[in-house]
This record gives sequence, structure tokens and C-alpha cells, in this order.
Amino acid sequence: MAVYKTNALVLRRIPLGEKDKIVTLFTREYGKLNAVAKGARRTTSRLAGATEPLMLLRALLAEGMNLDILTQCEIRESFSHLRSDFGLILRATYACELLDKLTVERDPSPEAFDLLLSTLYVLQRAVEPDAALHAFELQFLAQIGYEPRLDACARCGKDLADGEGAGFSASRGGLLCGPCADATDDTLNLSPAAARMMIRLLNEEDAKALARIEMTPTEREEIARVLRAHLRFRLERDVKSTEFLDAHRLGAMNLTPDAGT
Amino acid sequence: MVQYARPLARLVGEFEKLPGIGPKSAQRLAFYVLRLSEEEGQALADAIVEVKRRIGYCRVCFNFTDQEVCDICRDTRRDAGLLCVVADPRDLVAMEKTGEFKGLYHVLGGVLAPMEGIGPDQLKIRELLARLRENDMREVVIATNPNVEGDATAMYLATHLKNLGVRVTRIAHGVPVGGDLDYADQATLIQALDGRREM
Ligand SMILES: [Zn+2]
Ligand SMILES: [Zn+2]
Repeated sequence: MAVYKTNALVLRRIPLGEKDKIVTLFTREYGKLNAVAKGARRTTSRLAGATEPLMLLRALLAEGMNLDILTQCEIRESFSHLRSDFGLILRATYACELLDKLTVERDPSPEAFDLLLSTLYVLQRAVEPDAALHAFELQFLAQIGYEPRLDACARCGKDLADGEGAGFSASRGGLLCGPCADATDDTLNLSPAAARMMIRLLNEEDAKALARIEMTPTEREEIARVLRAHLRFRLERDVKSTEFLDAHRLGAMNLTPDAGT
Repeated sequence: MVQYARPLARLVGEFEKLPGIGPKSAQRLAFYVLRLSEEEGQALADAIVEVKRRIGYCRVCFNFTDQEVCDICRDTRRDAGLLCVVADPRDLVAMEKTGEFKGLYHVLGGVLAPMEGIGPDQLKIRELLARLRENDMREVVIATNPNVEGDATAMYLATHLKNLGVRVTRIAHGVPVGGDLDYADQATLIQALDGRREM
């Protein structure tokens, strides 16, 4: 039975039988893969803590009949600061889910791995966590060819310098010029300042700089709405943690007034 | 494929729906039932029916009970100023087995799980807040699992409960009693270090 070593981030895990887990790992070398962690649901297992979401591992895997087996691992980073902040957990979970939904198994993408990892690090010390998260969304979309068009009108192709558009259309996939904004049904507000911020987030690769970016309330609101629409239009499946994150951004994720008793 | 007589196939099929039971185990259980005396078989069937008919949720704490209010909630010897919040009735049982906790419980019925779309409205959080508004509690102990969902739930609850002016604590996580530091997994050690106490 062949064994291999890899750096892996645990995206999620589901219980298997009484004592085991199936973990979804995003590995740098092999892409996304599912592996069985035997005995990992017992509190005494050395795999128990390591096979939880958001753990960065150096993992030893053995090829199995159906699923590979996670035989040993060492925690490289547990992101304990992320775990101690509700808003950061939601954002990190959302990033993992988005990546999970937009990748297929065993399709290596070291760029996506590095991007996710650096996003988790930046989230831990970002002045504006949403800047780090939107940068992840934009840069990941660019990696898979879904990036919104921000330098020209997405309908007529007219050059739009410095984000000077008149709105954003999810169906067109980018910024619109004045006449096109009027002629499009799903035009959303996107002020030039917010569009410029999106361009900056799309291109900023320096972690230190990303962690220092600040956004105005308008930028925060417009970018979140525009990206949400852009993603929804391109994804065939729902990203479930979106709903949570949006609710959290609107306030302390209050209970809806009339549900339940 | 082996063809069972229809009633037997039906029983195998029902067993297969149970958690952790595959086709082989389902077949083994079905054959076991087949060998039971009629009385034994009836007793098994009755137990299942009775559980379904009589067990419901406690109106106060949402633990399983066969009454409107469960035994723990009605026990006047317990400390009514101390409340332990658990995710699941099984966690309540685990806490009770220690014999150390003398307060009352509140069962959430799960944990916040963003990826599964389980939010505050799906849990008994509103009920918890109402309970704390109506009763004077000294302290709320949050006893959720030490994982992403358990952490998120604990933090969410802490924010909302502190608004009510109640003291909120969370059970400590660390090296298991009788465990060997050398053998403890890293995640546990990291948490144990985070939760270290002054001596
Ligand atoms: Zn145009
Ligand atoms: Zn009760």
C-alpha cells in the first residue's frame, strides 16, 4: 500500500460509523480529497483534534480501496485566534465552503491552497476582516476564470478607468457604463470608490498590506452585495454559510423575531 | 442476490436505516429477531412503540422526558441559580454521570453549523434567553464540544447572555485525566496551554 505525505487544510469532516470520521482535506500537492481518519471521534485519539476544520496539517496518507486513510498527522497551525472570534470563524468557514464548492477532487491547485492559507493568516490580524475575505473571493474567482470585469463595461466593452462605472451587473459579470447600467435589469449600485477598492482587493497580494486595508461602510456594503450577486449567478449550488455571514454583518446575527416560540 | 421472504426483507430494510448499520449487520440483527420467542419479539416492538408515543421534550429544558416537565427540572434540591447549556441530551447524560453538577440544564438541540445551514433559529436559543429573563440565574456554564461549531455556538451564546447581565463560563478543555502529556494530541495540548491557570 502506497503512502504519501502532504500539507493539508481540513475543510470539513463528517462522522463515519461509531468512531471514525471522513475528512475533506485541501492539499497543496493533490488538490481536494476525502480520507478516513480511523478512531478520530474518540476523545483519546491523537487524530481527534487534528481532524477538525481549519487545522493545517502535515499529513501522512495511505492509499485505500475506496478512500485513502489518514494514518498520521502533525498540526502545523491551529489558527486559535480565528477560533476565538465568532465573526472570524464565520468568515473562515465561508472561505473553506466556497473553495470546497468550487473545486473538484484530485485537481491540484497550489495557488488556491496558498491563497486560502494566506487568507486565514491575514484574517487573524486584519483591521478589516471583510477586506481579507473579499480579496480571497476575488482572487480565487480570478484563478478559476470567474473574476468580475472591473476595467471596462461588461456589456459594451467601453474602457472604464479607475472604477468609474455606473453600476454592477451580476448577469453581465462586471462593471457597467452609464447607458448600459440603464439598459440592464439587474444593475446594482457600485460607487467608483467601492469599485476601486474591489480592483485593489483583486490585485493586492501582499499579506501585510491586505491586513491594513480599511473600508468605508458604503464600500463594505456595496462590495458585499455585488460579490454575493456575482457568485450566486455563477455558482450552481448555494454556499450555505453565506446566509450566516450576511446576517452577522447586519448586526449581532439576531434571532429572527417571529420564528419558533 | 438472496431474496428474503417479504416480512424479513422489510425488517432488514428497517435495520439498515439505523445509524452505523450496514447491510451485513442489518441481516444479522434481523436473523436474531427471527430467533426470538414471540413474547421477546413483542417486548422489543412494544419498547419501540412506547418510546415513540411517550417520550417528548421537557417544556423547560428540552431534555427527553415522558412528562411535561422532566425530573431534573422538578427537583427542588438542585441549584436553580446555575444553568448548564448542552448541545444534545446525550451530553446532559454525560454531565449527570459525573454527579458533580448540581444545577439545571438547557438542551439546545444541536450547535450552530454555518456549512449545514443550522442557525440560531433552529436551536432552542430563544427559549434559553426567555428562561434567563424569567428566572434569576447566577451563572450559565456552556458545555459545547471543543470544535469549530461548539466554539461558534459558545461565543454566540456568550454575547447574547452577557447582554442579560448573567455570568457566562465555558467548561475547560485540556489534557485528559490519566493521560500522558507525551501522547496527548497537539490540538488538545494547544488548548490546554491556552486555558492555563495561575497557581
Ligand atoms: Zn457599456
Ligand atoms: Zn427539564
